Amino acid sequence: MDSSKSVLIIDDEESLVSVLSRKFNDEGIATYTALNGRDGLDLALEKHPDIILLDIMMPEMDGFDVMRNLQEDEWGKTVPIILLTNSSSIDTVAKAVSSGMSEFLVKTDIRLDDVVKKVKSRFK
Amino acid sequence: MARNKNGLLDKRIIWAASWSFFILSVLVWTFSRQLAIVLLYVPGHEIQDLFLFERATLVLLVVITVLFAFVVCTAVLAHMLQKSTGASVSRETVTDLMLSREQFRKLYDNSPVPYLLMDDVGNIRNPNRAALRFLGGTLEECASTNFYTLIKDEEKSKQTMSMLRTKVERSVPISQEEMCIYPLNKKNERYALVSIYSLEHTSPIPFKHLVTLVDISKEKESERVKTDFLLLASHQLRTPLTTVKWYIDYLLTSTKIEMSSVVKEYLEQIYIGNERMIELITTLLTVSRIEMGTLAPEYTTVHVNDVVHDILEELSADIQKRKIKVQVKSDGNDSLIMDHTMVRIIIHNLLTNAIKYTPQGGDVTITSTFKAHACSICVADTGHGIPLEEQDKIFTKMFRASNARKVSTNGTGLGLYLSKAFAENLGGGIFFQSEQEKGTTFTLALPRVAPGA
Repeated sequence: MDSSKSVLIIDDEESLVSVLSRKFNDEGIATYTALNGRDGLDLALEKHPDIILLDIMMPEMDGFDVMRNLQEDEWGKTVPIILLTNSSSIDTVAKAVSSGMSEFLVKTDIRLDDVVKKVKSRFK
Repeated sequence: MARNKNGLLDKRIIWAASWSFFILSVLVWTFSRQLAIVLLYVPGHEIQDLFLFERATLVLLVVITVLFAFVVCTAVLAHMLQKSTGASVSRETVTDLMLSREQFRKLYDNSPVPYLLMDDVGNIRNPNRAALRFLGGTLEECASTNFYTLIKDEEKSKQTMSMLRTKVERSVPISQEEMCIYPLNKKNERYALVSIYSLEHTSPIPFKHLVTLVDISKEKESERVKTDFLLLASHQLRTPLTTVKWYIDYLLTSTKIEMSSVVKEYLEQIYIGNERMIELITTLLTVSRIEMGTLAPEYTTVHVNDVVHDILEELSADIQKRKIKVQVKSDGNDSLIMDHTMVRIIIHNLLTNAIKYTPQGGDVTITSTFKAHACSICVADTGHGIPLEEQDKIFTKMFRASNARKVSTNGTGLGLYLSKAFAENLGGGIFFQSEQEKGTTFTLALPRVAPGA
């Protein structure tokens, strides 16, 4: 089991966090989870995961705010982020691209296996 | 006016009458002697009373002259009368002018549309009541305000603003430009369609620009509410569907869970059902977005042949299962400047329809022709065809041909509606030719570069 790699999952939908976490653990990847943006940001700065899976629409602090805050941190500037969202509206995509994120995925369009593949490809 | 007309008519008659009298009197005077001879001559008698006749003629002439004088006097009087009527018309014009000025003031002051005057640098003068309400200030506050400072900069970039000012200075009219405006009372920002017209040619005054503001804040607000609703709906509806999708995925792929083949098969069926639901919601949201005009295309280079191959790859399982012979022909450079998603959705719809409604072993031919400024993508099938009486309805929302419903119950009737809307959005169109039990050919025509790109 290769526990040297870790993923931080920030999403307000508990069932999704749970299934993602389970899948990553099965693949031997350690996971940290947070159910809102604020907790997620704190956890990211504390644990320094290898990659962040970030939801956009969340209470308290949304995904864009988390990214903005990460930009102010020396480590946060370099961490790869995969945005996961369910609003596939083009404005959201445009907003995401303009804030310099690593990748953008629509949850309903991607299979669980492919999420893992995307994350693994980012490790290399 | 009738009086005037009658007056003119009278005058003309009087002038004609007086001239006739004058001419008649001159004639009588000139030929009086000859006339007397003719009248009093009796053959065999001498003319005796010629002198008496001359006197009678003189009397007659005096009478004629008096009559003539009377007629001339009447004519002069009529003419004067005419003049005095003219004077009363111009008094009327003044009254009319004052009345219309009054009407204009009332209209300007009480119009529900905000109006104001502005000088070259933007200082406000004479805002009407609606403008005061719109700007949220008193007359004095407005008079000491510059109109340009009220326009929100983020909405209009600095460059647009300077262009606006230059236009106003050069008296180029500005028509219905959408602007966000900060009211003077610092309450919620408001939206207006701003038009600015210069009064330069009619008046040399400094406040020569007439500004009209059509308040569209309510429309903007309802537009925002609708967009927010759609975003929320799309998020809320999809989240539970993602949960179902990913848990089934987990169950199907996990090596840690033991499952019988029957359970696996059922899970796969649930997965397919869920995917259909996701697709339906995506389509419905796209339809609402296009109808609301909130779907903004994004233009990139699209390689049509790649799109076609990609979709055929996706549909390959279906194509093989139904033993359909697919032929792809293409000539010319296949790159277009288009919205990739829209082009893909259109071609996807045309291809899935062709494959779905062609009986086992049939043919589907895709012919793409690329010309200098436009291209056409034809999808021809040897399928069931569209019944003639239903052909004019095929692009309407939720329409499915009667024979299509018999072949497959699965279909939203939104595919062609959406495809047509997309094609038109991209400056093109969709056309078709169909014969029942022989097949259908759909043609997607697109420009090389979408008009908005």
